[in-house]
Amino acid sequence: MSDDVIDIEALRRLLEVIGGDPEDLEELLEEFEEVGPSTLKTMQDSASADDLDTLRISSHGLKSNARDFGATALATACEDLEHACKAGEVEDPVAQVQAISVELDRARAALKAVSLS
Amino acid sequence: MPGQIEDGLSQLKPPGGPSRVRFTRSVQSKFLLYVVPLVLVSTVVVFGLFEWNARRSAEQQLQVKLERLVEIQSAVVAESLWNVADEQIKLILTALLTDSDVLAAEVYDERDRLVADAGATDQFGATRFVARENITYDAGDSEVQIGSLRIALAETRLGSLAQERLSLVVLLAGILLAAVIAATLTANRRIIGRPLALMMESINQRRSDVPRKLVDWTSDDEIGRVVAAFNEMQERQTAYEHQLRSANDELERRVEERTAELVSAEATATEARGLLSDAIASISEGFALFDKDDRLLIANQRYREIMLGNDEAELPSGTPFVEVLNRAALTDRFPNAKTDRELWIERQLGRHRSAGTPYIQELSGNQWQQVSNRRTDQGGTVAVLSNITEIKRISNELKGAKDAAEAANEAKSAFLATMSHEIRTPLNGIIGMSTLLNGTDLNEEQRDFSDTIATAADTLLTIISDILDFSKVEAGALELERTPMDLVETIESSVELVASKSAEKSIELACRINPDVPSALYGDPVRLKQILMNLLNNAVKFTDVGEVVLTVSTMMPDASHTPGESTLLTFSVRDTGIGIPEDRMDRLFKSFSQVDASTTRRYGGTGLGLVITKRLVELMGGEISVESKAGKGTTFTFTLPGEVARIPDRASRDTQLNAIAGKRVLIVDDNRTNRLILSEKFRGWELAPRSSGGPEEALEVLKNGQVFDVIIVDYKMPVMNGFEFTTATRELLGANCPPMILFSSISPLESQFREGVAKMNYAASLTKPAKSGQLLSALARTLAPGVVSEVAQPENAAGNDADLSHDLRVLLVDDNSINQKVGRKILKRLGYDPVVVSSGEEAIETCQGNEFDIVLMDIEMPDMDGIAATNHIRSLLPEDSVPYIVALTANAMNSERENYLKSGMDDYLSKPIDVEALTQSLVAAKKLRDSRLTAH
Repeated sequence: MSDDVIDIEALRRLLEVIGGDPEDLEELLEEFEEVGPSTLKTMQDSASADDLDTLRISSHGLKSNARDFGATALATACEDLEHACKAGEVEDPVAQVQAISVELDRARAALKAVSLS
Repeated sequence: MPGQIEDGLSQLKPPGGPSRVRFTRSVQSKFLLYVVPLVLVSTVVVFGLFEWNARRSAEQQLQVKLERLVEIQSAVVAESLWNVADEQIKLILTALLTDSDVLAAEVYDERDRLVADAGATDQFGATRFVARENITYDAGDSEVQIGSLRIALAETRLGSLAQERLSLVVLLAGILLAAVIAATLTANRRIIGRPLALMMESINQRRSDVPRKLVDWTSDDEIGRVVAAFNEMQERQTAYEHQLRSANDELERRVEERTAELVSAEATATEARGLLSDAIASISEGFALFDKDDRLLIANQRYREIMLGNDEAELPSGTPFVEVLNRAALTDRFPNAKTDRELWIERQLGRHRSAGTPYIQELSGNQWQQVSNRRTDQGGTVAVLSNITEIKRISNELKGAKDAAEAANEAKSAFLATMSHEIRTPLNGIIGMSTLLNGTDLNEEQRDFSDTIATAADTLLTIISDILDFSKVEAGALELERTPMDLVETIESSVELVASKSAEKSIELACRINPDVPSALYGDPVRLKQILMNLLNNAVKFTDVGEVVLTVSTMMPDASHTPGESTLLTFSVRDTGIGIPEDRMDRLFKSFSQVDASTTRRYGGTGLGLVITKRLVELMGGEISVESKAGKGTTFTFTLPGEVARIPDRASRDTQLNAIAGKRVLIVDDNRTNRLILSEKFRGWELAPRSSGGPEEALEVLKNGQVFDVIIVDYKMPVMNGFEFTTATRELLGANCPPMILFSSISPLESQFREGVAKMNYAASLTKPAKSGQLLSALARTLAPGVVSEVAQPENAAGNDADLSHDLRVLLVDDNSINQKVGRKILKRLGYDPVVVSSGEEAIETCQGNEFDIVLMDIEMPDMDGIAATNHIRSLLPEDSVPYIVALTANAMNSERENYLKSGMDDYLSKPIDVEALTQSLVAAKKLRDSRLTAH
């Protein structure tokens, strides 16, 4: 079973790595429901304030989580922004964060629909 | 000859005035001048004395004669006188006159009257010789004086005698003188003149080139000695002149040579000057030379044209550079001079005086020139003005191209990083799954498959990293690890990874590790595996029939058992494949080149493998070479220098070896290489192997009553396969049949085969080529089940470190709560109970209060990143209690690993976390702790 938004294999791998208990995965996904939007908030704030350092670190964090859950598109978008911050050349950070926000919503929706069984 | 001497002497004289001529008298005349007067005077004196004596004697005679005449005649006359016979007297007197000496005679009477006379009586007074005698007459008894007689004798006779003597004397003196002169002259000539003339002759000869003539004159007198001395002098003179002449000749020759050289040098210099000034005039660059006071010495046309805009412009030497600049500034040729003339001139002067680095100057009309000012040795300045408009244009284009290329390269790197990430994600799935699979209850075969999956995925992951690292290899920036590596494990796992491919193609794949090869070596196992994989894969790829054999040997077997010794291993991979034509060999190790295009079509591949292999071998300090015969096969051989290492934990292996030592093994395989390798391996394990090339031969051996503890049988054999042989053996031996182990290269997935294996009830079934470890444990389980049960526990992922007491104190540092949770769950599952903190500051604080064995440190954290936190921890804690710190990051590039290690990290893990890699880090941390415990 493959999904456009979520790489189900990555998610499955995560499950295996943490010991194979779906409840543990569930716990992580719940955590992501909180962490995802809060990280996005940090990104939005730092983008408006032009604080590239914070923007870079928060993008990196979200990228890492997105990879864990197989949210490939979200991870890529975050990584792009992270690299841009590192290079110090971010074109319209607010718009980019906005795009990431859309990806995040899609990923969250997709994750809710995933069934690993 | 006197004349000659005279000539000779006068020739000796320097030319002089006539006043000196009178001194040029010959030795002879000088001689005569002394001799002749002496002779004359002595002659006169001698003859004078003689004459005086003669005259006195004549006078005495005359006197005596007179007296005697008078005495006698007086007696004669006495008678006559007495008789007065006058006449008679007269006669007597006249008779007296007959004596020529008697001049006159007179007789006087007693009264002195003249009686008679005769002769020239007047002469009586004129002569000194006059004598008077009395005449006496004897008259018986008395004598009576009757008169006197007087006689005068003439002196004339005396005079004539003297006259006579004088003539004689003159004659004698003349003769004497002539004799003296003649004798003098002769003697002079003989004794002095001749040798002098000879010497003169010799001297006169001196100007000619012939050697000086020696004077042939010997005598024992002074002249002789003078001549000898002269001759000696002449000889010396000759030698000296000869020397002088040769020196002179030499000098003249050298002067001539030097003169010729000078002439030629002058000509060359003139020509060179001409060439140089032609060259200067005609070079396309502007050229000018200034003296040390910045006054122009020479400038070519081009310089005048550039500076003054006109190559005909008058620019006499001696013009100060300032004036040149002033004139140049007026020409509108220098855009900068237009804006601020003073400043421009000032700057040009400054650059001119500080001659050094060339600078670029803009000219009107978008032209550019480069000005190079150089100091000459004399303190002057050479200025060269080159038009670089074209170069500048090209350089601008190149810079553009370079920027574009760099951008493209950056894009490529980014693409590679992304790609590798995309590939890694599913690959990590495979790795994770197989790790999990290993954790379940598996039988030997399943475990082998599962291990192979894991190893293959791991290798694939490594290879992806290698592709990323290829650019680094190309740039020479690849760094090798240096850890103790289990050689047998490394080599065999490489072979194992190729096994399935060789099985598919029905090629025998064998690995022969010489028993004297050390069991462990310091090196980079991943890279060594990569090299072997490349060579083995290549060999299998290009071989359709036959075998591929990897041989490992050492040239220094003595070093093998001493850790720390240097050794040199030789690896060779031999195949029986298509081979490489000789003319294509040189392309083998070149990037992206296979032997030919058709090869690529048929066999695929990037062509990168051998390049990386070669670079890796060279990086490890070895050399790789290849031998091949088209159609016969290829052998790649490489050497690997290294230091013998000790594998820490070999206890279980040793237990197993001890348990099976001395057992008898029968090997039944039709492939000779396999038989040899197995026999050798078994002998190394102190078993007693016996091999047979086929089932019939083996059955024959068994029929003959030979007893074995175990039989190893190949599945695929001609005539009779492994199953059939097994059945036959069991029938033959019945209850005495030893346990049997099956070897096969058939894919065990074939259900028929699997059923067969299950039915035959083998002690173990192994795929070829079997890893040493697997073979050893299979043998140990078969031959000594009691011993092995202790060590051969089924392993699970966490079981690798089952004895790795779970008391490792782990600190996980991550700001992200999900990462924290994931990390905690993984560690829990592996049996650890980590302390989790969410910032660098907290990590530092926690490390100060508690001791940790390992810190898993996220790099990207707000406020303080992982590297800063790590450095803090290192600076705060004593060196031997700093934990093993592992960087955690979601950055995909494995090549960043070195950067992290350089920044103070002990290890590096990429997220998402790979359990195997994490386990390795945990093992490393435990080793560090253990080593510290032993050290204390």
